[in-house]
Amino acid sequence: MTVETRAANKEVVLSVQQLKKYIGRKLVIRNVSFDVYAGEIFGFLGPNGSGKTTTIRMLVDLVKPSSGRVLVCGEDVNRHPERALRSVGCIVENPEMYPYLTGWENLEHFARMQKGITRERIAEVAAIVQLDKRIHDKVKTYSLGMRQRLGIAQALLGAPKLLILDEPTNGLDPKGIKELRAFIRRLANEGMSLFVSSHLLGEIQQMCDRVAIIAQGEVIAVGEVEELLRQAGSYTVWQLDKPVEGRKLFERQPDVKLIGEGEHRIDEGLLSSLPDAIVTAMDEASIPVWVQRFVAAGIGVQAVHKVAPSLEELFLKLTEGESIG
Amino acid sequence: MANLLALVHNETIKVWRKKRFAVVLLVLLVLIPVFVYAQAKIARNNAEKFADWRAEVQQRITDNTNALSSDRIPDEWKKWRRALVQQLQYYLDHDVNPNTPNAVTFTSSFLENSVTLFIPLMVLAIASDLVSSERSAGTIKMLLTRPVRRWRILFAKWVTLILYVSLIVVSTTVLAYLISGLAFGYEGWGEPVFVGFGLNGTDIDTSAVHAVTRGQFLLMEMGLVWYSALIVAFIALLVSVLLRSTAASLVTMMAAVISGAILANMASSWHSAKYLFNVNLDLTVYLRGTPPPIEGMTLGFSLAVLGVWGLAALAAAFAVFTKQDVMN
Amino acid sequence: MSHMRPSESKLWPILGFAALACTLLMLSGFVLALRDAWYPAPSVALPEASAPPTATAGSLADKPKLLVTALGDSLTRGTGDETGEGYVKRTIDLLKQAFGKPVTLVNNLAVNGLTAVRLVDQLDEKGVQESVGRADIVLLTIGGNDLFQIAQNGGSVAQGGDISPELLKRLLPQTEPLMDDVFAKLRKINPNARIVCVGLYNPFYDLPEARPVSASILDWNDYVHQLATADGNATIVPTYDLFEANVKTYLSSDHFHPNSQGYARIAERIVQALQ
Repeated sequence: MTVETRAANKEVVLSVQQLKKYIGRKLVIRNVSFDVYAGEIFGFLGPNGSGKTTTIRMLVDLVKPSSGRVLVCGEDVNRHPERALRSVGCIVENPEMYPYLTGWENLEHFARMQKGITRERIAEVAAIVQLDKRIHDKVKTYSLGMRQRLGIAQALLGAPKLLILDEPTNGLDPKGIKELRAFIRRLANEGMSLFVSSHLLGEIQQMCDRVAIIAQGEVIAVGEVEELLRQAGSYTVWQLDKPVEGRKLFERQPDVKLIGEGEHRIDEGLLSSLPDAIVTAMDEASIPVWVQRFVAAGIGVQAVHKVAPSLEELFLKLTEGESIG
Repeated sequence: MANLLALVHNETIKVWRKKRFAVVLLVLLVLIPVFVYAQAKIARNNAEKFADWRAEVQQRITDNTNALSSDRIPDEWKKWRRALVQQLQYYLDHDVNPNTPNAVTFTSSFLENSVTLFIPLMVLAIASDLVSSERSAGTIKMLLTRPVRRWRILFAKWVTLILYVSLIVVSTTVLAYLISGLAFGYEGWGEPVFVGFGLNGTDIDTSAVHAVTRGQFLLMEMGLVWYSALIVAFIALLVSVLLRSTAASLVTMMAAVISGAILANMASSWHSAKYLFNVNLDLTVYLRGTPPPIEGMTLGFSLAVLGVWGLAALAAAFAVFTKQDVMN
Repeated sequence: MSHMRPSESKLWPILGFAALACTLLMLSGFVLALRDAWYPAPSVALPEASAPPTATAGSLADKPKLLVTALGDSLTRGTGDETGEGYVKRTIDLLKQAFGKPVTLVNNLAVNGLTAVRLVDQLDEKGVQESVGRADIVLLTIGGNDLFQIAQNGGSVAQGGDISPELLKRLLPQTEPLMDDVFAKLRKINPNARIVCVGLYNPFYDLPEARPVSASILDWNDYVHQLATADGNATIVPTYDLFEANVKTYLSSDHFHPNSQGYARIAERIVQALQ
């Protein structure tokens, strides 16, 4: 994936500009700005209560911003929802459809709300989400996964330029998540922009090209996922043939910081594949010095890895220790 | 306009598929036979008791006159009975039977008796959950994120509401006619009925009285019942916009309607109660010429009070619906 | 609509048109109601009224069935009778037995507190005339309210406070002539009916200060009796003697109206008089 080239020369599909929202007297959204470009998967990351939900609702005119604006393909969502929302498909929170109608009737219902959606298009989106066999059953007989897919079918009806998915993996099993991920990537490859919110960092890391991180009603970072990871600095993981002695050597040096196992600074899956690895934070330049030191001390260096921090770690760095709920 | 029609299509189908109207029909199908049976019993009793309708009407006059002489009867009742006596006397004087037992008179009186409570309740079955159900089920998030302005969505719901109110009033009438016809026969459309009784102090003013056919009378009653049902529906629509829960909005409206029915029976001394919508619901009293619940109420007055309530409710419903934040 | 498809369910077109038709119908009914209230159209023609049936001449015994209309005051109503039947219903039941044929009450037109003056007015009402006109037997009690002014004084009769023999004496000459009108009107309405008028009794016989009342009551009964004799087809049923001896047994707790036993005795006497 050549993420670097993606942002620069693509058109802006969604532009969020200095959103503020008061609920009562409380300023719940302080300052939210970001752009989403055509064909990218944009992650929107924040813990519950960070203002993520309110922001998403402002993107689709469910909540009116106190100030600032949301432009979809240049149209103001708040002023001209009938024009701006034409280019948007969305599922806000759960994909709630009318349970007493069939899947097909639900799609027809939403198709009638937009000009030019043909019967063929309804059949097409039903096929895209692989609901064509059950499409004439009542929605109340659907499983959560099927409702999720029907919701996506609904969102795709108008062939939107921007698809907004709010916590799309909620309630899905691992297989379903994997399929969804592939599906989202496919849509992006076809040129659609996707806006995916999540409170799960791994999900964003695996799915998204760029990400905006929101905390306490404020976007604290926007950028390419990999770029942000790089900014957050990396960790050096050592594999030594005498790990106990090696660790003692590190402990005596103030310029090396040892990272304990419980700190979750890097991906745990990676750590488990490296038994007895020692995770450190240190200056890159001193790595060769340390290798020599170990050799001098009779400790064999089996491998040295440079490891990027997890998004959790990134988030902790950006928000100074706020926990992810 | 094509867009609005499509939205009305959506709303109409949703109400239908939610089986709200089916419930209304079912309630009617159960309830009407009960009343028909009771009415048939009364008619049979009267036929046994009285030589003909004249004797029956005369007996009603005498019995009500007797009730008038009692000191224990409240003044309001007396006023009502005095008007009734004078009206019956008018019918007798003109040799017109005021209530021939037939399907048309049954249907008329069924409408008159359902206008303050029964019809509003059926209307509420549909109106109360028109918006609140979208909110409690969460479907409003899908509905309002489509490229349609919010006022159009509420407008479509409003039109749908009018359509269903009309369907309810017409089906009530048709079912009452069809079912009661089994017991009383289907004739009676052309029979005369007197309208235009006025009130002049405690006496009935017969200067404007004229006869119309039972058929026309029934149609006029339906029209008046429809108007007050619409007002109830519009207010229920506002409540449905304001309250998230269908149950809460239904209970609120039912309380308003029922308290109106109670107030209409006892609020005659509380004059400002006549500005409440719920004591003005029975517009058929003006057609029938029976005294209104509170002195000083006229057809024009009641229409205006109901109209103001209805319009205010609609204005508030649109204002709130188009501006409110959908937070959950 | 642009995206209406042929295979789509027929529900919407049917439902939509039906609802629209209903709405237009309701709107027209509403407009019609307003127009009729404010710009009434001329009356539709009333059907030709069939002439009300009238009683035939002949003796009661010869008629295949008997129709009875009751007129008058609270006595005819049956006030004081705890069973609610009064003398009218009892009379009808006894007549059925006595004549062995159907006897039907057309109407009980009695009104509580009715005075002779108001009875004269009532006899002008169309419905009353029809009811009286078809009757073979007219039952009547009247005069008590004129003489005792019960209605006006709110029924404190039991204390005897309202009983003024002097007042009664004064009222008698202006009340008696009203009975001329009553008889004349009844006859005019129905030339063939047997008129049965129940005489007055003195409900205060057990109050010594009210004893002088009896004279006036006898005077009244006498007067009515003369009218009946003059009419030829009228009967006065005396009740004075009945209550004179048994005030306690036959009067109800209001000390003015008969109780059920009292009404039963009146009914018996009426039937005896008719046989």
